[in-house]
Amino acid sequence: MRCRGLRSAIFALWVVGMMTPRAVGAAPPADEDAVIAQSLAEMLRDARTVISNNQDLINNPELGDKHLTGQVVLEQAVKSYQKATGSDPATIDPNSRQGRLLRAMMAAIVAATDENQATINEKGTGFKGFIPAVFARLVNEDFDQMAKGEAEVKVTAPPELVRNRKARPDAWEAEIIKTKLLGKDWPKGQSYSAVVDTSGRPAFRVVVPEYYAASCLVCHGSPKGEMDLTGYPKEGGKVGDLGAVISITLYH
Amino acid sequence: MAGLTIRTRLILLTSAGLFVLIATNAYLIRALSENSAGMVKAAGLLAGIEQADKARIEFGEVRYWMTDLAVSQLTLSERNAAAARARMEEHLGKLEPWNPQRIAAVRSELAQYEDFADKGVDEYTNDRRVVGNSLLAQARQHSVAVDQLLAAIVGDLTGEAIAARERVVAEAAAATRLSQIVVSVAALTGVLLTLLLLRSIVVPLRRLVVAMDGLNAGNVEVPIPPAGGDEIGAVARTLAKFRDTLVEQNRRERELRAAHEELKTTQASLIHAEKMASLGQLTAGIAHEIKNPLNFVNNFASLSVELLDELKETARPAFAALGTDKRAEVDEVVDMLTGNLEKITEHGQRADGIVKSMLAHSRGASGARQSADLNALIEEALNLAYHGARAQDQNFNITLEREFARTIAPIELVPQDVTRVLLNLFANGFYAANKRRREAMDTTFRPALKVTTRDRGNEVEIRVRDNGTGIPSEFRDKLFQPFFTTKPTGEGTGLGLSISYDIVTQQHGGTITVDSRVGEFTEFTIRLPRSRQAATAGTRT
Repeated sequence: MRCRGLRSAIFALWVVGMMTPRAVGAAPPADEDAVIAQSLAEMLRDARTVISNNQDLINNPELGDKHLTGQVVLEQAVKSYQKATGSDPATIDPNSRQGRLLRAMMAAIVAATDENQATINEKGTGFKGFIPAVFARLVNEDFDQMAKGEAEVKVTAPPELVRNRKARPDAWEAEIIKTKLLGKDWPKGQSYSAVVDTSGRPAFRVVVPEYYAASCLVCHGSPKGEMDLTGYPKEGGKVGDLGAVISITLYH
Repeated sequence: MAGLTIRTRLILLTSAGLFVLIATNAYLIRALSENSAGMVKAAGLLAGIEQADKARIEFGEVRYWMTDLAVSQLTLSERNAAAARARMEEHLGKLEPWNPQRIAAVRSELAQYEDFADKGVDEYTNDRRVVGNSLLAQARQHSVAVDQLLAAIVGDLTGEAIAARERVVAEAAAATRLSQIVVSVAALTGVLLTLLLLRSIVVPLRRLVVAMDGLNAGNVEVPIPPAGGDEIGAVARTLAKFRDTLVEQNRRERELRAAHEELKTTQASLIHAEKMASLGQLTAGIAHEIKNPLNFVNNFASLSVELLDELKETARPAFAALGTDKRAEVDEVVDMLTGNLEKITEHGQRADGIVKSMLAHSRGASGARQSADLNALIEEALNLAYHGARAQDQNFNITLEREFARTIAPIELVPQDVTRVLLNLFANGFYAANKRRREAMDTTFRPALKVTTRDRGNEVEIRVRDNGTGIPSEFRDKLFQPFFTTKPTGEGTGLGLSISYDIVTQQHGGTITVDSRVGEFTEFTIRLPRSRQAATAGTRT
């Protein structure tokens, strides 16, 4: 199942809100955090797009080895990343904070894909459930481990749209989604960021809204309640509705 | 029951029926109400069973979705589990009034299950599968407890529902039996009471109809049913009054008829008396006119006989000179003349007797009243008549019977005239009885005449009955008219009964009637009043 049309977050419209003034002095510049968050989100989104674009291949029951390895996915994602940002991840200093985290993201993409090669290449099975959302969650889980507590990435959504409880928004995310992203006057596609104490640590947090495109509605559209291919009831969403939120936490 | 009015009886019968109906209905309503309450209770228990079953089912859903949640991590499973939990709570809430303590126990176990399950799922979410398994194992123990508690509740509710249903069935059966008995008894009693009521109405009504038919037919002796206190009794009373009125009306009618008959009789008597009086006057006139010429006839006949005797003495010498033949012829003529004259004298005297009778008939009272022994007077007249008859006919014989009332007090009358009446009646009786004897071929027939006297208080009665030829009915109206006789010419003047009628009715103020049957008997009845006033009133003037 493909969900290629999610809009890219408009990182130029970062709105930074300082929740805790004490964090300003020791914290990295907000711009750096914003750039890192942007690159991580973009990389995740690009890799997810690759998986989305290859759903037919993945769900082909007659084909065994699809040659859709982690490296293949990463390469395609990097191409998209370069196209979207104009920069090559390989040129980013690997010792820099951005370099470390971006490479962790890239490694997580590879790992999540390779860990599921058996599933992807299973012959005789059509729909395998290796969809972009699952892939993104697996990538994020791997990223969280690889970032070693320096950063966390999660794809969440308004609570009523969350399908996997691991993707449930935490209290801050739920509040921002409710009061900001779902607000009547919230500009379309505008992200929200703030420095917030998270798990006892100051952190720069960004939430990037993603909206339903037509291709998303195959599983999340109407009629509401009708089962989609995964066996999950459709949410009744429409094109342009807030369908997901990429939440990035950069610990200071 | 007759003491009650029909309306009261009907009201009582209807009231009794309504009472039984209402009582039966009240009982059935109460039984139905109890039965309904039992049914409601049973239905409530069944509903409780349903709720407990549903709670168990929903709890199964909860367990399933919690387990599914632990594996799939899908929020859908979480929502499904929450929805199932809410539905289960709804069922538990409905069960709570039945037994709050047991539901509280279920909730307690359920809460512990949920606590462990939620924690277990969280551990799974956080990829701590071992801890999650441990927590889910503890949750499982409490889920078993919840299931057992719910199963026990279902079992208990089922037992109570069965018991309630059996009670309802038993009570319904008892109510049905009792109502059947009551209805049967009420129906039987109603039929009996209805029959009694009908009988209390129909029987007197039939009697009334019989009485009415009888009265309508003129039978005032028909029994009228006793007047009870009801409407039929009122009709019976009215009918009795009607009967009394009818009796009174009949009595008056009889009196009127009797008065009318008496009037007619009196009128006839008056007419007859007037007729007799007219005839008497006529007879007296005729007799008076005939008397003188008849005296001349008789006297001149007697004188002519004497003259013939003188002629025979005077002409004896002349007759001697005649030849034997001539003398014999003269003697024969003289004798014939003498015989003729004697016959003229004889018949003249007879005519004179008739005239005398006619004159006596018209003369009225012939003698003074005096007290007389009626029985002796009758006996004397009877002997006189008998011997007179025997003198005329040596072969005459008749049996005389007497039935005299010996206690009759002397009565004032004219003995000669009454004797004359009796002699007339006896002579007629002798004549009729002997005529029958002569005409009858039966040699065993014995002429008889019976005389009876009776004292009737203010009057005395004399009956003279013979077993003679009887008087045809067509003659009875003329019987007391002058000159009417059925005897051959020369044997009766036709004045006897006429004179007797006058003597009895006019002279003594009495009555004389006749009853007769041809070939069997004739009976004359004379009633003479004792009082002079009555006698005087009846005397011809």
